[in-house]
Parts: sequence; structure tokens; C-alpha cells
Amino acid sequence: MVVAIRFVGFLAAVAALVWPMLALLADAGGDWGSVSIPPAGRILALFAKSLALSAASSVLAVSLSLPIARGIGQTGIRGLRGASVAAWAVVLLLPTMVTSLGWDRLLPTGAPAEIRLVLTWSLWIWPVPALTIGTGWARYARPTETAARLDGCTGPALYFLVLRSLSKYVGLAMLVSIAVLLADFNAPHAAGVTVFSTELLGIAANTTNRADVLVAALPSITAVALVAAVLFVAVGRQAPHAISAPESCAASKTLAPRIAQGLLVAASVALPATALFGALMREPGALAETWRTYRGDLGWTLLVAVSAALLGVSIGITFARGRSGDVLLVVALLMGLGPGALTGSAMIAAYNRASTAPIYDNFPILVLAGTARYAWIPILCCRLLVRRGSRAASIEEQAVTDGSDNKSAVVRILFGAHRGAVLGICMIVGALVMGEAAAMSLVRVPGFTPVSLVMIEKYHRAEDGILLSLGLWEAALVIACGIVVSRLISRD
Amino acid sequence: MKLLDIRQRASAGTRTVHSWRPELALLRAPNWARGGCHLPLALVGPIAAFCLGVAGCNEPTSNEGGGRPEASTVTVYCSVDEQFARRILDDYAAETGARVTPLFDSEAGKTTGLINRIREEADAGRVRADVFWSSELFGTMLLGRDGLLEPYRPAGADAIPGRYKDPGGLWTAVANRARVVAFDPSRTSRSDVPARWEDLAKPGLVNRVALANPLFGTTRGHVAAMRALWGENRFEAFLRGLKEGGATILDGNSATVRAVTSGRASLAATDTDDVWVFQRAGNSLDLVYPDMGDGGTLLIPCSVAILKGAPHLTPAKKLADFLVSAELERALAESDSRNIPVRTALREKLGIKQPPASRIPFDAIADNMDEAVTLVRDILIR
Repeated sequence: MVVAIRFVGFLAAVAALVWPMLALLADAGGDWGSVSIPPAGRILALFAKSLALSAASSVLAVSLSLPIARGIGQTGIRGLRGASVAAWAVVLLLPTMVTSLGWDRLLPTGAPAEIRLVLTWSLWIWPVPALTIGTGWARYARPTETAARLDGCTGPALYFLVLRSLSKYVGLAMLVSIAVLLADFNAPHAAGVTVFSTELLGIAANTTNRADVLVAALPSITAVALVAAVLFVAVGRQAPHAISAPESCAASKTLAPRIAQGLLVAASVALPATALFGALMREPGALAETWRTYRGDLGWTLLVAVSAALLGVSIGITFARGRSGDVLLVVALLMGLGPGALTGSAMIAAYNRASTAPIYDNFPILVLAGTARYAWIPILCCRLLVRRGSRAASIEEQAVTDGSDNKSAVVRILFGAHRGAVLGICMIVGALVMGEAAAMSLVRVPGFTPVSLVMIEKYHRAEDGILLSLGLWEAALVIACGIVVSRLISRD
Repeated sequence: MKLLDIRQRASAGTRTVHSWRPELALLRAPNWARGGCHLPLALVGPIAAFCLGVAGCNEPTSNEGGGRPEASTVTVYCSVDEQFARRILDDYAAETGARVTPLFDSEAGKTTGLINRIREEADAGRVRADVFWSSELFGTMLLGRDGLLEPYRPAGADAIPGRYKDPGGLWTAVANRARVVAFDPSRTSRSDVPARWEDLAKPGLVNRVALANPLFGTTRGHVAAMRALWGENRFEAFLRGLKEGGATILDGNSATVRAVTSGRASLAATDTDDVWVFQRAGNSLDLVYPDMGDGGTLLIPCSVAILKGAPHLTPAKKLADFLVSAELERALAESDSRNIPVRTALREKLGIKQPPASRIPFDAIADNMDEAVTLVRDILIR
């Protein structure tokens, strides 16, 4: 089984990441002389606007997530309740198109679209900083928190002291949030805000010249290169030793994090969904009608998402160690943190050929596109989990001392000691793939429409009831899958 | 004490661990590695489906290939409203027994995205689609000029006016939509809406105007028509007026209508079907048909064409016959899009009044497309 996973991971890495990137560069190489894109001033201005909006949303998301991060810090990741995980899954999974539409009805008429976008983004991405900062808090910051409390610190002062010791985690949370939001297409499209990712899709959809897409994407590629450099430093550094917290600190669980989480989930999901319920009430049969008309598309979309998630995780496990993993992470970051249009163009360059027609003409191209978009998450997470100085690395050293080869030891460690994390990564990747629109719109195949594209269509046809129904069905299906898989895992 | 090899422990299926190596307990093989089969199935299932998708869904790409009989399969690339088109194609498939596989455009990529896909597949030497059913005409015309369409005069096209048929039979057009200015009558008075398209760029008004990106979609055809009719100087002045006046450029026609309904804009340059759709959803909206300068607004028809090298030519022709039929034009007129039939007799029968229409030839619009796009890029989108 270890060999099978590594084989699948290697194959997926080549098919989804390496080959498409090479094909894109090769295709573009012949077309540099005839580049035709909007003026550079416009491209750069849109990129700067996107960066500013992403940064604002990330700051808000980090701020909102702090009480929840503190709760995770107190109980640890393993203390997370199933209900919390399910709530986070709904937040991440409910399409931003739905929440954006809800906020459109909640905000006063004439409110700037940028405000709607920042609200939608920050209330979507907050689980990521909550998890990131919370993990660091649980591992390293409890003694600081205890000492601060003994000194009489409470409220903002407590957060300030603790977060200073977690500056790396806060920085990482901000960086990841900004990067994900910068590459997002759905929320800005729904809010009617023209940003870098929406502009680039327009360019990619309307050109046969790959160089157009590459040149237009240069600001994004540069930014991703900077992000990659920071992440390499963060991952490459030896992990500081996790500190065992005194029992009294771990046991001091308050209701505040749970209340904060409840309020955030309500704001993220319930509030915008409620605003749309009026549309659902006007179309009482919308839920059933949506299931009847789109259950095939829902099912195929789920299959694409699950397949892409599993392929992504197999890539992450296979390349958790070694220099080849470093190179692959860079490619994955370019495909994932660059605009979806870049990924879609790479897929077209790679597979729009007679020899690969069985892939390009059928749903495998969608699986590969989804894998390419989000493989960076499992690769990065797996490398973080087993990096030098981590608990997993020390177990691996002992296993190698005992005679095991380190490649299979890494796989077993990840499945043994970090099953929950691997499952969580799978679910996050699957959720993101289900919502991916830009790349999918470039590689869509006849006979099947990814639900993300159906939702865009419904949004533009003002069919709000069906739009909300699709979002709810999508959320329900994925949560059901997540519950089933987590139960299977927990039996082991 | 000699340590057990981890692999040996795993294969023994034991969960016991030496007490002085508690961390190694974490390395006990999970249930699935010791004979349990839950997780492997979760992995194998999607991988098997992947393989099935590759092996089982492949359609023959030539008439000489094996597989399904040619008569029963047709692939259509379609940018007509998906909800409506899906129903029409399903009904056609049920009636004729043909297997119709549609690929719809998306608001993300639009008609021009589909057109580009057709070009790329032709460049790669593997034409995948048989029929192109477009919600506009000008992109289809450019495909015809590039030699990517198969000549075919559909049955029943005799009743269609000559303006809506390519002389060489490369395309046939039916079911018009009009370019209009939409507004919210509860916030904007009809007298404030300009009666001419050129007046949209007038100061005092232009900063409340929203229009779709003129590099794509029906707006691209519209600006090409403006250049063809007004000449380069007036067209440039119009674009500068929009740019300096602060007109809002959005991703698509429906986005402009949403801008009006949400109060971010007062006027939206859009197509009639977008207005009808939002009206049906209960929004306060009305429209005006501004004059292009030659007596009416621009009417943009849908178009049907067969692609050169189509893998399934015979069923493609049958589908093309259906898509330009009076029956389908009637259905489009009675749908939420409320398209305007090109057949005069059908309009009279349905009691549909065609708004005053510009008389600019479609060829002139197609001729001016590239130059118009260049000027838009240089002046408006920068």
C-alpha cells in the first residue's frame, strides 16, 4: 500500500503539475513576439487593488479568528469537537457566490461592492487563520498564556503578549490567507469587482496565445515566488520543541471561544443564507427541482473533488521529504496561488492534443485541474508535519534506527500519527476544488457542468432560489462524506 | 532488548509496544494495512472512476472510427442561455433518439471563450464539436472567415430573411436580442435616459453608467457597430467620454443590471434578455432602445453553424435544421429570454413588435471588430 500511494503520488505530480507547467512554457515560448494584452498599467493597477483587498480581508479574518484560535490553543487540535469541524466545513464549503449574494441584500443600497467583497472574503477564510494560529498556540504558547494570566493580563493585553510569541504563525496565517484570496475568482465576480483574477480569466478565455496569459500573470507569478521563498524559510527551519502545557492551563476551557465561534459561523453562513431564504420561499420547489435537474452535476462535481483531494494528498505524502519536494512545491504554488486562468491554460497546453484526447475530452481533465489548483496545500502541510525537529521527524529517526526505510516510515507516520490532519487537509482541498470556477471554465467537458459554473450561471440569471439550493446541497453532500470518512478513520 | 522491526510488528497485527518506546505506538499500522479495507476503498474508488472516465467516456473523433453509430451522436457548443438550451436539447434528444452532448459557455468565459476553444481544437487538429449554437453572430462570422465552418443551408431557412443568412451557407441566424439601456424607474426618470447611444458618454450622466467589458461578448459586437457607423473619430470621442467621465466597466451584461438593481449605477448598457430575467425575479427595472444614429438600436441574433471537420456530420445537419426552425424560434420568443423572431410572419403571428432596428450590415460590424477592440484597449481599458 505504501508503494501504491507513492506511485499514485508520483504519477499525479507529473500529470497535474510538472507536465502542464512545462507544456505551458513550451507553448508560450513560440508566441512571445505576438503578445496582445491590456496595457501594463491596467494589469498592475488591478494587481495592486487585488492585493489591497486581500490584505484587508486577511487582517479582518485574523482578528475575527483570534478567540477561536485561543480556544484551540486551550484544547489542542485533538480537542476539536465534531460539531466545530462540521461548522468550519460549512463555512469553507458554502460557495462565496451564495454568501456574496446574501450580503448584497443585507447591505444598504448603493454600498460599495468592495465592502461586500471584503466581508465575504473575511467571513469565508477565517477558519484558516484560526487553525494556523490555534495550532501554534496549542504547541508553544500555553506557558506564555499561563504566565500572562498569573500576572493579571486579560483581554487585548493577553492576546498581545501571546501573539507576540506566535508572530510566525500569525505571519503564516496572513500570508496563506492573502495568497488564497488573491487567487480567488468567485467572490470578486459575484460582487461585481474587477480584480486581477477576473481580468486574467477574460484574457485566457479570449486568446489562443499562451504567452498572453503568462505575461499578464507576471505580477502574480512574482508574488508567488516571494511567498514560496518565505514558506521555504518557514518550513526549512527546525521546528522548535513543542512545550507540554501544565494541566491547569489545558483545562481552563472557557465558553468564550465557543460563543465566538458560534457568532462567526452565524455571520458567515446563517446571516447571508437567511437573507436569501426569501428567494427560496418565493420558489418553494427550488430545493427539490435543483436536486432533480442538477443531481448528476452535483454527483460528478463531488467525485471530481474527492478524486482531486485524494490525488493531492497522495502527492503531499509522496513528496513530504527531499529536494524534489522543494521543486514540486514551487510548481504547485505557481499553479495554486496564481490565478485559476493560468492553471486552466496550462491544462489546455498539456492535454489539448490527439494523443491525450481521452483525458482532455472527459472528466479526468477536471480532476487534474482541481489537483493542480490545490496540491500546494497537502504538499506544504505534509512537509511541515515531518520537518526536522518535529515530533514526526523524531519518530522517523527512531524508525530508521530500527531498520525501516525512511520513505515508508514517513507514509506510516502521516497515516498513523497525523490521520486527523491528513483527513482535514483532504476535506479542505475537496471543498476548495468544488468551488473552483476559473480553471474549470477553461477545461470544462461536454455533458457535465461543474456546480461552481452552474452557480455562476444561476447568479447571472437572477435565479437566487436555485443558487441557494445548489449551495445547500453542495454543503450537505460534502459534510455527509466528511462524517462518513471521519467515522471510518476513527475506528482504526 | 532487541527492538522489533516496525514492519514485522505491523504484519504481526499486534498493538503492543515496548513501554520504553511509547512514540512507536503511533507507528502501529492502521487497520487498513492489517487487513481492514475501509481506507483503500476510499482511495480505490475515485482512482477507478478516474480510469473509467478515461476509458469509458471516449467518443470516436472520426466518422470512420468504431463505437457508437454516427447517426446517434452530436456534440454542440452552446452559448445560448443554459437552462433553456438544456431543455430544448433534451427534448430534441428524446424525440429523435440522438445522443446530444452539450458544452455550455459560462459567464466566466462567455461566447468568446467558446469561440477560442473551437479555434484551439482546430489548431490542434482535433475538432471535437459538431455544431456551434451561439447567442451572438459576429464571433461566428469570424470563424467562417477563418475557414472553420462547414457550408450548409438548413432545411426551413428559406423563410429567413437574407440578412440573417450567410451567402455561402456558413451560418444561419435567428432569434434577435436588442441592445438596450436598463434603469430602475423608482430611482431614475425615463426622461433622464439618453435617446441615442452616443449620448451615454455625456458629462453629468456618464459616471452613473455601467457597461460590460467591450473586449468580450455582445458588447464587443456593439462597439464594433459603433465604429462602423460613426467612423473612427466619433467612436474615439465616445470612448474618451466614457473613460474620463468614469463609466463603470464590469464583467458582463448581467453584472451591469445587478449594478443598477443594487444602486451602484443608474444606467446599464445591456441586452434585452438580461432585463427580462431580472424583471421576472421581481426587480424594479425598465428599458429604453437608444438609437445608433441610423434609425434604431442594434439587434443581435443567435447563430447556428456546423464546424468544419465535425466528427458527426449527418446528425449535426439534422440538429442545425432543428435549431433554425420556426418551431424553435417560437419557443425562444416564448421563453424568459423573449427573443424577437427574424421571420416576419412569425412575429405577426405571435403579436411581437420589433423595436426600431439599426440597418448596419453585419459584415460591416465584423470588418470593424479588430480595430474597435484595439481602440477600446488603448482608450477605455487601461
